[in-house]
Amino acid sequence: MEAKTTKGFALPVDKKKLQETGLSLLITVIALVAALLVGAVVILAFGSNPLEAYGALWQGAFGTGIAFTITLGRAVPVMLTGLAVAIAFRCSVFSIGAEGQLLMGAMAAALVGAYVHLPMILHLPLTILASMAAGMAWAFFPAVLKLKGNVSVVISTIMFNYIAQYFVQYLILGPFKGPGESPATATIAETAQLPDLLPTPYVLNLGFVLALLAVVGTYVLLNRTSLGYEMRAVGFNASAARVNGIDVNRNMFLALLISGALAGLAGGIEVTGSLNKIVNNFSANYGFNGIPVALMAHNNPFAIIFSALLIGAMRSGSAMMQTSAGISQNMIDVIQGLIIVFLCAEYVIRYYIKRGIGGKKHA
Amino acid sequence: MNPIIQLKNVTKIFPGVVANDHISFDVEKGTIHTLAGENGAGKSTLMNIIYGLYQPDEGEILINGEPVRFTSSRDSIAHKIGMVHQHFMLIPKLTVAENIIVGQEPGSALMVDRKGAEEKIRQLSETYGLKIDPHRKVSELSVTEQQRVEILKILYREAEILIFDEPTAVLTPQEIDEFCDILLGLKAVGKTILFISHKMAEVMKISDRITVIRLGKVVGTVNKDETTVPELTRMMVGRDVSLERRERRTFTDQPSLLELRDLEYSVHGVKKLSGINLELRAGEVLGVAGVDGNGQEELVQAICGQIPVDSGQILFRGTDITRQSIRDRKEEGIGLVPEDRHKDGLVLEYSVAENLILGLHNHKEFAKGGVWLDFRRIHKNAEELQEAFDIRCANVDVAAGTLSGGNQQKIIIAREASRDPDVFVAVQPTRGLDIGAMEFVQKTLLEQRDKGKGVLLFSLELDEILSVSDRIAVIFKGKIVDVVDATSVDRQQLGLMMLGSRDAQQEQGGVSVGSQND
Amino acid sequence: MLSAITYLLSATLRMGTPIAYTALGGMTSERSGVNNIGLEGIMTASAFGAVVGSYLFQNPWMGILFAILIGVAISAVHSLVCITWGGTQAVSSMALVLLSTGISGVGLKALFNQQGNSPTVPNLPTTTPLEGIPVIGGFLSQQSPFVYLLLVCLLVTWFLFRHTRLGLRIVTVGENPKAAETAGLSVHKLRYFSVLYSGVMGGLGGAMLSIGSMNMFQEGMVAGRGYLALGAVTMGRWNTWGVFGSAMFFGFFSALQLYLQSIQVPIPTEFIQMIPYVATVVVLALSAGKSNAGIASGGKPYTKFVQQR
Repeated sequence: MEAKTTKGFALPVDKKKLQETGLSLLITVIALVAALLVGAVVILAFGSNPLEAYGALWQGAFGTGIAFTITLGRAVPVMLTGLAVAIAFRCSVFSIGAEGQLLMGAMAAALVGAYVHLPMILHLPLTILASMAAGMAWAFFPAVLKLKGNVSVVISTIMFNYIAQYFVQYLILGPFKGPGESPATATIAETAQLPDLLPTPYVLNLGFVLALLAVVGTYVLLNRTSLGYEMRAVGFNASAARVNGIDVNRNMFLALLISGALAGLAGGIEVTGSLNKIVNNFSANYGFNGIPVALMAHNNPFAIIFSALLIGAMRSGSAMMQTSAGISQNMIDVIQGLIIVFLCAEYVIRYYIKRGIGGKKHA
Repeated sequence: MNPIIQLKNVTKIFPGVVANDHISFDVEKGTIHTLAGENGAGKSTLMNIIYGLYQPDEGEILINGEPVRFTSSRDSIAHKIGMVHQHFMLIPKLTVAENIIVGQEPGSALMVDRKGAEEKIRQLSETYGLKIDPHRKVSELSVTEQQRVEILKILYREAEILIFDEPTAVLTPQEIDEFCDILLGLKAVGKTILFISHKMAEVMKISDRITVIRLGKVVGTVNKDETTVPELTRMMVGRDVSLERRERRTFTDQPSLLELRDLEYSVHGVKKLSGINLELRAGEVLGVAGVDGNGQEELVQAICGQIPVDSGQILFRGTDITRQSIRDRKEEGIGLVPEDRHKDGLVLEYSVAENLILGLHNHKEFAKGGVWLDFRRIHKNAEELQEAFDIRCANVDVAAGTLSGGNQQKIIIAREASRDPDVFVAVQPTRGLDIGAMEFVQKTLLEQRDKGKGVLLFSLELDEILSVSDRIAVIFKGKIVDVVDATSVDRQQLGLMMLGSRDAQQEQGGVSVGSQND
Repeated sequence: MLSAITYLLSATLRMGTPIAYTALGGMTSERSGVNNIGLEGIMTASAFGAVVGSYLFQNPWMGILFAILIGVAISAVHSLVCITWGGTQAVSSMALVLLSTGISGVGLKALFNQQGNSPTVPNLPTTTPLEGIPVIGGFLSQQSPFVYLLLVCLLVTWFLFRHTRLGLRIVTVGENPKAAETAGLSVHKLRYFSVLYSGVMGGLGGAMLSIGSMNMFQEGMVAGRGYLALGAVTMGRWNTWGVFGSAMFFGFFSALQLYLQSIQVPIPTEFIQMIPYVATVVVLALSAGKSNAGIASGGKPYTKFVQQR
């Protein structure tokens, strides 16, 4: 008894928690399978062969070693935006601003990377930090609007996504347009580029490691620090948190800023790792993809690694799906939407599992 | 013998609890039948079943001898059953008329006949003597007026069986008398009334028959004329209960712990607290009595720093804390057992251990450098408190939400007591608890007092106020009517004071209400 | 000067109409207690659906019908998730956005074998029968029939909440679902109706974009108007006329943006294009904080699957 109590808490592995983890995993798997099934019906309805389409998707994502490294690379931005969504969510803020914060982070990285000249040991960290700061700054406005003006974070973050989009577009086409015809910034200096982890032809850079570090950092923050304790308390029950002396607004504010920094980092890694400059409309919804990534993982940082890989795989496989099965790349948006829909059935699934009816299916 | 309702083995199971366990009894037509029992005995669940909001897992209900299976309140309304819920089911934004007619609106589908509705409501309110203006917005009504709207709502639906779920909980003793007259009037015109209460005086006053339930089971059904209060109490609680008063203390020479000076607070121009002056001394329990909604909530919030007062001062051990944050006041030594433990007291998803450090989580004791949580110490703290306060749970790592109400309350009390506060603010600390837990809570409060702390007890239960307090402050419409020695008043006098009458003590006997002094 | 005013007025109507349709729908849904942030998605899918209908039958009115059907279908998903399953409304809304963007992209490729935009289809840019009206006939006939249909919808929505049983019941459900249930009303049915109504209106809003003011579907053409509509609901304080006015107010900023671009003011286009979004944020910041007169049960599920706290 004695031994269990002291050790057992430091490593919180008890039966109840394991059960809960298993249940969460089961719900995610059910949602994923249901989404793929309904997705197959959609593909059929549009006159394509779902098996062929999913086959091509798989092949494109995992078919070769190179494809697999691309999948890992694609998982990086969505892992970070997933963390961004999750940390805000844990503090009961639903932020849809990752897209705009990512854009601003990428822009900051592109500018610092191209126009600042320093040795790599300083330049690269500075570039990365600049992206985080820019993402954080872009989250600052909705955070202030929420606290001071009681403006819905959902609406304000969406508006700031659009504002960021036009702002970045202006910078790319206007003052910071790089050499050449294409609408893009100048290429960043080599001292600001993330080193590769694997030799060519494989494509994987240090960004993947940074993303994993961000996962660990988020976990530690949420679960091992008093700030994380406060944030989660606010997320579960803001009223009780407040009555017991926790400053709810301060925590939401911090959660939004950290969320912005993570999304900005995603943009920074895209620029320093693979793009090396910003082309117009480069993000293509990495920010929005963070929502299904976070939800599938039930906002658990470590689980986000896996859900990000899944979404990353869809993104990297979708090109092959389009070319060989003739179904638009947009199909992965449909599947992600469906995954979210079925994840929303969480309460229903829990209800039936609790009542022992188990697999009774919803309409 | 003409049973209008017959319950046969009605059983309802919620996850982990048998709320109603094979309940059987009959209700005679045209009588007032009381369902008595402690909080949490399963009375409300049973009424919700009769009203069709819950479906029984087992058993049968017969209305007028016919078996019925209600799937929603639509069915019960069709069988002329109406229910007034403990928490009023009214929409403040809508008018009295709109609240009454919704669901059975006169006129065509395209055009609600508001004129006709108001006319019908006027007639009804005249017939039953329930005066109300159908034009007014519900948000402008007093509690008794709202209750009238609720009654009119079911009369409008031509209900013959009227269910009242703890209707007197929100009323003063004088208002309760009026309310009893309304019920007797309804009985006189042939309505059948199912009345839920655990207040013996009113139960004995108006009931024809009484069914007592305890822990979800029927203990027995008795005729009013053949029973006594002690017998009923014994049936409800399962043993004899003595409501004798404890000895009181004198405290005038004790130092002042908390002093409120001329507190004023208003919301949107409505005064919630006006000119509050109150002093809590070391070693006393100061009870705050009053009808629900007379400023108790705001007073608690003002003391704990949850709302900023407009003017006035709050002194804690002589220092001004009026502008201090919630956290600072807690650190200074004001402990709070909040009214709603699920909403304000606990994070149900957190474990017992985590809940026991809520608010203490960044103390050096539990977080190294105020930052890194020290799980070993958090755990040790939890086990010590679990033992000291007899918190019954498998281990301290289970979620607080899985514990019973009494044990959840013990978590809160253990946490607050562990901070060793000088002032202990307890708001309805025994609400919804069984007798055992209730006694434990009251004993803990008295222990705090005996240790020389000050306890500020807010309660709507006069019995609790009378048996635990040393002094009693009565609050009415945001003002302190008077502060009296607990030994020098009785229920009747307190009741009058709760209606704002300051002279209640002289007025002995309490003839009629009306001397409201504001 | 006069031409500038006519231009702005005409453009305000054109830009405000889709927002107003959607906002009226959003208001109805919110008043029943279900927030629908996914209106953006409903508009996207319906804009596409309108083009498909108009293309298949070579008749823009069939386009409207298709748009409504698609809007109802997508909002039915939201209803199922939020009302029956008790899912989080904001989350479900984002699913609608992803689903709708995805479906219209997949559809573009599958039906037209195109990416980015559809071929041109028959549309409804003007209302020629009104030409005969003296003096203002010219102006009136230059407006899309969608503008006139909006007036009908506006009156219907106003009447719904002002006079009908249904309206009173929707308000009751939104303010206190438990009270509605005890009064014998079906919380689920009323909420389903309200959310589906928002689908119809969002469908019309989407159709206006693709076959009212244009004659094709373009990816990203909704450009946040669904969210602007939500802002209009808040700013209009859940009141039919207030919501309509707010929607037109946002429409005016879009019109202003078009006008400034057309007269070539020396401001970069991107900044002009930001105007509606910046205006929304500013307006909400100025109006939202003052009172919290929202819908009492807004955003909270009411189902046996979710324990009420």
